[in-house]
Amino acid sequence: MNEPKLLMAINDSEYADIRQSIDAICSEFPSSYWRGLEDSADKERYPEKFVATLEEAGFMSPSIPEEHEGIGLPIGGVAEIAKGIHACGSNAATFVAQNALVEVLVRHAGDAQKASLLPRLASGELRLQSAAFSEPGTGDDASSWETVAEKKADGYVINGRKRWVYFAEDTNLILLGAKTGKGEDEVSLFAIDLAAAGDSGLDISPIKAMNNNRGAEVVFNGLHIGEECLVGEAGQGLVYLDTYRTVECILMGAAAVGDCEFFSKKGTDYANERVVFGNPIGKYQGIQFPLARTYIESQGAGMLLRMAVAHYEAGSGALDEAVMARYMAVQAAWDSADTTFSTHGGFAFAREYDVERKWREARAWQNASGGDLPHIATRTLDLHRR
Amino acid sequence: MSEDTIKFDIGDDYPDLRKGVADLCKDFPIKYWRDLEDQPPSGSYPTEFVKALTDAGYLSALIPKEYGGWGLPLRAGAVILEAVHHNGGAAGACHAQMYTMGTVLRHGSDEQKEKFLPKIARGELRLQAFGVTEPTTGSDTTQLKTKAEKSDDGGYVVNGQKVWISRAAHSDVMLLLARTTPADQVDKRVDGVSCFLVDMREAKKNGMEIRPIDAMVNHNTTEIFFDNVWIPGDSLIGQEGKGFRYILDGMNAERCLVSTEAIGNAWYFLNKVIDYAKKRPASGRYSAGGQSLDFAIAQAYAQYRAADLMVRRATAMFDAGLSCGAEANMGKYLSGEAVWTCSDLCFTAFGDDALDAEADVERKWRDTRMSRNSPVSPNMILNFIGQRILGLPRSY
Repeated sequence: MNEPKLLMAINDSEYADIRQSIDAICSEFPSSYWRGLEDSADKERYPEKFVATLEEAGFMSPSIPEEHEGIGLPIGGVAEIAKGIHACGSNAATFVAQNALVEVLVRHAGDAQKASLLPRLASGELRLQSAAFSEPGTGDDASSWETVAEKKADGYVINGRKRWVYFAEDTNLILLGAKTGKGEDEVSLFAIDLAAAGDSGLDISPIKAMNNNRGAEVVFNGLHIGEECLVGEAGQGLVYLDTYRTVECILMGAAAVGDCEFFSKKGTDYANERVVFGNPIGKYQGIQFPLARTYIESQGAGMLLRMAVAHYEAGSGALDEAVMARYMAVQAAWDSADTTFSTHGGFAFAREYDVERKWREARAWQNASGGDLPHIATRTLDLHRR
Repeated sequence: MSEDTIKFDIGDDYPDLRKGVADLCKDFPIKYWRDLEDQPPSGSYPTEFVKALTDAGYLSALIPKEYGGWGLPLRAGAVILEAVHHNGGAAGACHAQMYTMGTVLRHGSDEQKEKFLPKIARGELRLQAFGVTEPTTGSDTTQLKTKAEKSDDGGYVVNGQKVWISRAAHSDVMLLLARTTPADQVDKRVDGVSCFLVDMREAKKNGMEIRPIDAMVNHNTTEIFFDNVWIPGDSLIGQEGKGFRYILDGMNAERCLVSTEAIGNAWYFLNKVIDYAKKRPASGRYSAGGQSLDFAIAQAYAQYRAADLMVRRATAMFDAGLSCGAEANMGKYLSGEAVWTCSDLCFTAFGDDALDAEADVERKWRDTRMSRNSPVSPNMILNFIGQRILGLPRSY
């Protein structure tokens, strides 16, 4: 529909070496590791060892350019890591969060902030995994946020409440979105080092939730931060948030496509092994067809993901494509998950089979992508903006 | 999955072809297609439209330049067909001339190409019939029963029956698949059938009978009876007994082409339903619009874009000479589901207006339902993916 022309080049083995490394790393973190985290006390549920291993391998912030001591991996490679982690049955929530936030700094931070933060993020000395965006009353609608950053002579004072701030207890830096003026679009972003900010004016309350999601509510009560925390220019936050959303959608979409790989293999293996009424159950079309159908669906979503990556790497705005890719990937992941759940019959409930944990995760993606259809309808197709 | 790099354009590739076809379609407005449906099957073929497409050269786009065509890749042919559909027309009346090229160009002899292609390019010969399906074998193509037996004079004598052979009454040449070795005497299921280029004008004089089938969609489809029909020995394409392999190239080309037609139809319906939604108030007591419709459109749009990409990928692989069975099948499946989502959504959104012939929803809605039955059953695609890609047991 009058789309700009763009050449796509598909090579399934483009990132084969990265994928092999990810497979090798993930083999050290079998399903029992992830199940174990869910059984741990609240404070010990963060996948510390997994993240540290990715950091050591240089995979935790791979998009940071070489001039800031990163490896400058294009977004397609970053997406391959997220996909690989999920295809192995591991969880990339920390990775997706960090890379979407780091990309905001790479694209929009000033030179001083980049020089200060990017090399330490690249080395793993710092973690930036918390987005303090969503609010209890207004969700992701940035123009309606009520959290305020008031300009003072030596920085800003923050007041407000954020909800579903992931890894707030585990990260070094958070990226905060707050209003710096009365206008709807006067949103600014701040990269805040929690240790430097201290305890006064900041309260983090973990939310007890399904899955090992480590969300928290964060209350800012007169928190004072320095001028250097501001990302880029004041008032440009909505533009920067588009970058965040684009990368988040691409990486979450990639992780969801990885989930599809995981479920497809898991479902197919079980359907080939399990014998009932004298045949492997995969011989029955009631079992086989849903597995085939969800495989095709996931391949279609994978194509949208490649398109979003191609647009992003070409330097054009890719938010519409990324949202569409995530929407379809997340749908495919849920369909694959539920199909594999059904394929396993009663055994799907047995935690040891690791279907139910990934199934719960796949369901949660759907809520994370709840704004996607409204985005496609109103922004991409220009239908009834409300 | 392939290790080769596959390259293709997204967005409006071949803009000149798109514009040319759109201009040509203006001479054949929706009313033209509607009026054809009021004719009996014998008079319902879009003769003028097919002639215009042929005269402009579009139907010879895939014929090599040395034989008088444009020598374009399959994707260009797909774009032409897509444009016909997105502009409200129906290329089902003439698309076979494109997908048969996969078999003729790759496996036909130089003599055969010399004999047929320049005349097809000039519009003197129509190669629009693809004689594969039979009443009793359906999707089980390798088990087809129509026989072509060698005669003493080096020709073949054909006996049997074909069904759902579209456009046969409007074609001069047919690509025919017939058995040359009995099924119980071959090592592999795929062996023993051969491909022929049959001059139908001669065959009609020698015992071939064409009977139109009255059907829900205007594809001028027929059944064909062969009663001791003699055809010359040089009708054979390639080697005897290898016909199924040759036809597979034609089938993959066909899947890419008709999938792209489905994409064109999906685009037609999306345009229509988006226009409709934009004109309706977003809310109100009697509004049929609102978010339930907007979100359904958004979902259909995403589905359409994913299908389009898979079809482009499959087509690019075909053009690169790579094995594209999985991609062509997946593209077929996704485009069939996507076009049906789009057309049925439009049908629902229009309410009673959908039934009004002049709203131009119902005719194409009926047309698009074909995409989920033909030319390959979605169930057979699921079987293919289940067995060949996922490694599950054969279920049938």
